[in-house]
Amino acid sequence: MDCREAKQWMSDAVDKRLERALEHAFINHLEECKDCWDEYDMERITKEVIRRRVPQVKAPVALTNRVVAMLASAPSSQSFRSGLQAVFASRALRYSLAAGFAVLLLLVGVSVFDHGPSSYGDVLANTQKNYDAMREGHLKPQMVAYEADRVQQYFDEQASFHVMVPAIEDCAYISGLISKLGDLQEAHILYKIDEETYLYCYQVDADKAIKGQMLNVPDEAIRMLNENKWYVKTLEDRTLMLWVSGNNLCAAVSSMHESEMMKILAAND
Amino acid sequence: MQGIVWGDRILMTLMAGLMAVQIQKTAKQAQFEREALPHMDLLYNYALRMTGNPADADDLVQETYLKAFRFWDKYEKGTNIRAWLFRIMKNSYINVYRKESREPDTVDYDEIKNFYNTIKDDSTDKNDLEEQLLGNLLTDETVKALETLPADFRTVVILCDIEGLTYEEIADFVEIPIGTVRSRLHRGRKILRGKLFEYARKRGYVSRD
Repeated sequence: MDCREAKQWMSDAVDKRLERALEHAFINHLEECKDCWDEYDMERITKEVIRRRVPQVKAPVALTNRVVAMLASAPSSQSFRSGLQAVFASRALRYSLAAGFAVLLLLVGVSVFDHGPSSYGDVLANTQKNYDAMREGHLKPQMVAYEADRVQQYFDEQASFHVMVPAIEDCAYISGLISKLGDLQEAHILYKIDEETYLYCYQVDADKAIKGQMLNVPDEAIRMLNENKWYVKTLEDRTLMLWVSGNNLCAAVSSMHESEMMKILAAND
Repeated sequence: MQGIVWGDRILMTLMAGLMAVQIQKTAKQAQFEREALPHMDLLYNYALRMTGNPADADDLVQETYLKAFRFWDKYEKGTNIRAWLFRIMKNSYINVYRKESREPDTVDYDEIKNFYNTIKDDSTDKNDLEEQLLGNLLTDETVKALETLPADFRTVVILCDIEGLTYEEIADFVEIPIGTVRSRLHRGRKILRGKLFEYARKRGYVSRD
């Protein structure tokens, strides 16, 4: 090998990708040629300095969230430019929005409410209260997504018990929240189905909730649960359901028709 | 504690407005997210080292993903998605920064070599030499040196030395022959070493004499 060839293979040698025969020839040349040896050594050190001194940075979470949000509103054809994109075009505004999206779209600070939204007592009354509070925004979601899978993932990662997230096609969004009632974790899922319609689903570990006497279930409901597994009560503007799924005591409220609710909840059970 | 301050009414108003957009995720979006989003770190890193600042890197990554999503139907499934995304980003970068490309500063290689020989003579072994140089170089200076490298050379150095890609992958990413990857790496590192040794020298490496 001569100097010209050695220079040609220099970067391969530094990156340790020379085949055995070539590597042999390269080393032989280096042992005879001080110039090439120095060249090689300096290139090797340069690579090492870059590798060790230039940090590999992770994409900021806010950026990921913003991209996800923009994709959702992205035009499928080039002619359409959504108002949302125009909003994002301003960088100053974007930063404040990014903060908001971090809350809206993905996992927020992992924190679980110290003071739960529910109070001890009747699970049905609590569920109805929570349904109102979530719809009206008094109970803030810890995450919002468009797919049940993502909400499921959130609960899988954050909840101490297995939360079952029913899948609903074509929701405006699904939001999730974990709160605490004493030692008991409560999972709240709110589906916004359309402008008027919400479905709220509440779940707790049944054993802990009942045995620990954190929550109680009205006698009438217990009787119905024993008979046909589902307790359904239709009120003026809403339908209330209670059932047990796996180890979970589940309750749901919605303005949807009873049969539609049942279709969604039973299908996923 | 809830850990979130909800008092920001402006933010809330904007968010409410955004929610009202009634965004629905399509299967296409779900698939795109699943395949494309995991590569954001690589793209962001590249964007950051090419633009030199986080705000521009944000813009570049964002633009890349929007474009990629728009052309998702054109992506040939099963081919290297990282390379595909990278090429979209590189084209976006070129469109914005083309005018700023410039010739590298001239480097006095003899001087560099003298300096190298000085510290080498001082070093007891080759690792020591490396430590001497590393100890004298800060992250800021190293990043600065990298950022002065002309775009073509910088690209291969970032992909190889920071991202750890193989020559074959780099060739695919940049759409150049492997021989060109090789020569750009060699030349790029040579320009870089000029800068790095220069910084190290200026930081007052004192030889024992």
